[in-house]
Amino acid sequence: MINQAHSRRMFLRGLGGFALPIPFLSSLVSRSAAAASSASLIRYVQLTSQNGVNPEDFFPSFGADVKISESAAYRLLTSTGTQDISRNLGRPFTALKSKINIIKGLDIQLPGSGDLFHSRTTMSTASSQDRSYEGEKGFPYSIDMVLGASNSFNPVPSLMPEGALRLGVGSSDQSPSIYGRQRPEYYLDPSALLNSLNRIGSGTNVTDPKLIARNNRAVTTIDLVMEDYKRIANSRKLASQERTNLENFIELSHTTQKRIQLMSLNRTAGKCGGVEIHSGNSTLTYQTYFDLITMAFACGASKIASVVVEPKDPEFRFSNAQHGQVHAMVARWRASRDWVYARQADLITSLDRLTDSDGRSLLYNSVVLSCPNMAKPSHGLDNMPVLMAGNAGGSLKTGYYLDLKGRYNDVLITVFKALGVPPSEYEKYGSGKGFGAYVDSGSRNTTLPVIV
Amino acid sequence: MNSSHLFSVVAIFNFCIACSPGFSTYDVQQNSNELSEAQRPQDLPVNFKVCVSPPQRGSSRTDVNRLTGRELKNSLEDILGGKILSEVRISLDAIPDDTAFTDLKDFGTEHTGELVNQILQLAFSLSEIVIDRPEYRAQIVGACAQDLTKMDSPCWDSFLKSFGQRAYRRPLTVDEIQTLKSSMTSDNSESLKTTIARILSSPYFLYHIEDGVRDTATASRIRLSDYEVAARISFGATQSPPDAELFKAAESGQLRSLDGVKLQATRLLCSPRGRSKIFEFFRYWLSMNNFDDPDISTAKNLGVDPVTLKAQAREEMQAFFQYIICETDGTVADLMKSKKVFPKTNNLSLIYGTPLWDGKSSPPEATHHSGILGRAGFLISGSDTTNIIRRGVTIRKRILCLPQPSPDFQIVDSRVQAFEDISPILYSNRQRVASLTGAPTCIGCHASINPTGYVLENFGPLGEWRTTEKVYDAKDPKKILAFHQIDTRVDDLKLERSIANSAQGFDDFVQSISESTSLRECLARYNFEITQLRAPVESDSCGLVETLSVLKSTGSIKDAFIQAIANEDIFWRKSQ
Repeated sequence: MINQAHSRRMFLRGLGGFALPIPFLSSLVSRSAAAASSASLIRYVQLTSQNGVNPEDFFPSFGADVKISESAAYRLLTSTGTQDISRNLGRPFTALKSKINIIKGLDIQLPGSGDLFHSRTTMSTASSQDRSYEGEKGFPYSIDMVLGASNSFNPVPSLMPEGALRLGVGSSDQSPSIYGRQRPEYYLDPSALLNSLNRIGSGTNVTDPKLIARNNRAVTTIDLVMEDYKRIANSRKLASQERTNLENFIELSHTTQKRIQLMSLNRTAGKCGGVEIHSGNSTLTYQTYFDLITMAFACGASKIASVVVEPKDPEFRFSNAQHGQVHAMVARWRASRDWVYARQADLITSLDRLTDSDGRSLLYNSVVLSCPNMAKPSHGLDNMPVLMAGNAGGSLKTGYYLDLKGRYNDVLITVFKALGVPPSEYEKYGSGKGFGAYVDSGSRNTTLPVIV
Repeated sequence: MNSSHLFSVVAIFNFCIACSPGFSTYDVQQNSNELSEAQRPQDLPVNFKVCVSPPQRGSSRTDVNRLTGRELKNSLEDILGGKILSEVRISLDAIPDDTAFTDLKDFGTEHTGELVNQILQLAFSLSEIVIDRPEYRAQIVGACAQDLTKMDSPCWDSFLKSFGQRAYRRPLTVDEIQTLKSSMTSDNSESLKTTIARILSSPYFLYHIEDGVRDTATASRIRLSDYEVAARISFGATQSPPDAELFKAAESGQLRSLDGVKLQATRLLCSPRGRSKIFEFFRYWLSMNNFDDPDISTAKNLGVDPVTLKAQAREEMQAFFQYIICETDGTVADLMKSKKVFPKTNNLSLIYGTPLWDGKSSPPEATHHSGILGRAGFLISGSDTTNIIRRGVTIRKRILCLPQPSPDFQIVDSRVQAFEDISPILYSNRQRVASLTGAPTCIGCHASINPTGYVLENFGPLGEWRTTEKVYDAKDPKKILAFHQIDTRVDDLKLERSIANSAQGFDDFVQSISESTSLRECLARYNFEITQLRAPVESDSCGLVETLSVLKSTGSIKDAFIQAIANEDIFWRKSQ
């Protein structure tokens, strides 16, 4: 059975808001040092696309030459020199070989068949479908939403109303994010996202010494303000609603304080502000999306981004409804997938070029998970085309092509582990161990070999 | 009219749902704050015409509410001045005013995360602007802070006392001044910035906190301090903190009597911010945020600019309210019957059939457009026909506070096509609505809603007076396909027992409801709600009775608004 007893508060927290106060407050008051230490730098990006891939176009043409078990072999991607990995992962990825992993042979396992098998957009983010999940058939929690609600990974929820950067999908039906029955909004308009970021103060340059001084002063001031609130709470008898209102303010002030600290931690990234809106074609739109993501990551506006990468230009566009026509439109189909992965390379490269506050690259301090909502246009869910990038601050190794026989769930478990999320925080969304939908018994909290 | 348009129009209002026609009983909610679920009576109806429990007067206020966005902005302007605020205009504008709602539940009494972030960032920005700019520093901190390296303790004390009092709306205690000074460092610039930001983020600034005078506390209530009374007067009348005169009145003890309170409320009610507050009341009461934009082709047929009309009509209503309440000390009857109109544009001049108004001289008088119900803003329909149902529901539900259940949207949906099938060439809009809502599932409510809308049928979809209904060809808007005679006679209004069930038309109807008790009760209730941002409870009944009494006797709306502020309740809050 799916445990659906997760509250609206948890959803809002995943979205970055706070609707309800928590019982008070000693843990929140006078806490600058604690807040600073909990403000981890690691970020998470999920990239999804629609309709799957042509496996021959995506997976490497070369084999995995180091066998480590009956069901696992690997190859160092850098051992293939300047050879392109595959058609989809062409030239832009050649320079990124040491920073990515390609994983072959992982299947999504679903109970039942028929309509259940009709893939949904959360296949790669929740290892299951979302909409027809009545009863125990589906798993309606995507990894990005669970990370948003995780105290371990996201102790400072974004103040963006959307909670994270979610870009590039036109309707909630196609959204890869879900939390119970609720689905957050995705941005289609980069200007709207920029406005949202500016509203929470992420459009400014935090390398400015005056701003650094201001942030330090702000942290101190919020400490004092919280003490003032606490003094009132202690000095008079408050009705429950009065107490609720004041505690709510303190909790939200504390969140602002932690966010300011996070921005200060990241200030050496020096990439806050200066994003220009490009438009004209889908490539430019996505370039703007990616600039906004790197800016938001650098400025501490969000630790989570979810992007649906699909072109809208006529020469590349391949709509969700057209996936039954691949055979008739194969040339456009292949070109469209080339475009999708070229854009993903753009983002990975952008993250790699930016230096984080610890001197590492943003990519090194991130986990990028890329997987479409199905393996191939026939709705197949076997051999999901998984691409990962980033080292999670050192928790993940990169540069490998893994040829495995296993469950897709292991990818999600690997991401949780790399991001420091303990099983207790993700298992509460399911009926037992592991994360997502399972049909077989056996060990569930298994991670991918070699790279962990 | 296309079907989606029709749906959007009717779906917001009651439509086709079984309901029991009946007369209004004014409900005052039982205050359940201290009752367990087991003890709580089920929606105890209290006739608010009876003043109950005088010993508990004013004991219903318990919550520490946050300042609304508008109150916050006015407070910042009063403390810092408009020039300093203009430096942070974008941040300030991003904070919602919290006035554009039509239901109390739409107002969030708690801060959201985004709002707290905005407020704190604003406080940080303002503190920097004030201290980093010498001219602002001199204005806010004082001339003694000209050279920050030489700022001494008396200079600090003077700043904390004056700035603190303006922000906290009362003098600071010795302890509070010591607490603020305890965080000072040798860097006066940094200390001042931190102190200003701290004060502007303080609960005493951001919330309506009322400590009361401790030794006055009884089991049920505690008396407010003079400064807290001053804050209630000023926020109640102007959405702003007390001005210098009100502070002085508090300081001298003048606010311990109702006469003193009344004097200040009267002074403030028609001040510029008081006028804004008055308009906020009407916007809330009449649900003006739900008023329609005009239909484009209908507007063009009449020679009216559809883009600007709605804003102009809204401005005209604002002028009307000010005229009735502040310029002429008008009555409820004037509010419903006055034919004075305020058309500053050709659009409205055309609709009202009067000359333009120059904004200064005596306003022109329309032949037909009486009171609130004759305002263009109220009458404009979003389609090429009048919206009989919306008009009827708004009058009954908002203006008269008659019970009106929400519609069943499934039934609404099923009836949209039916409306399309009733030919506008063969049948008038009244006949079409009657046919549409004649089904047994609909007639329960529409038996009373529809007649209330029919009486306004002499006003077309833009509020223009008409004696015939014209049906235009959608493909050729200049071509008229049919004429229907307007029929505004009704004989089943079902408003209240003292009001005739029949009306010959608009003037007859307006005359009837201008004498309505429901109207006066409703006005009193909505005024209470917009001022206190909560529904009245039993211990508020005396204040409501007194307001109603003014509306029934002199009828002066201004006096009633003053009475709503200046009554015994203002001195008290619930004891914890």
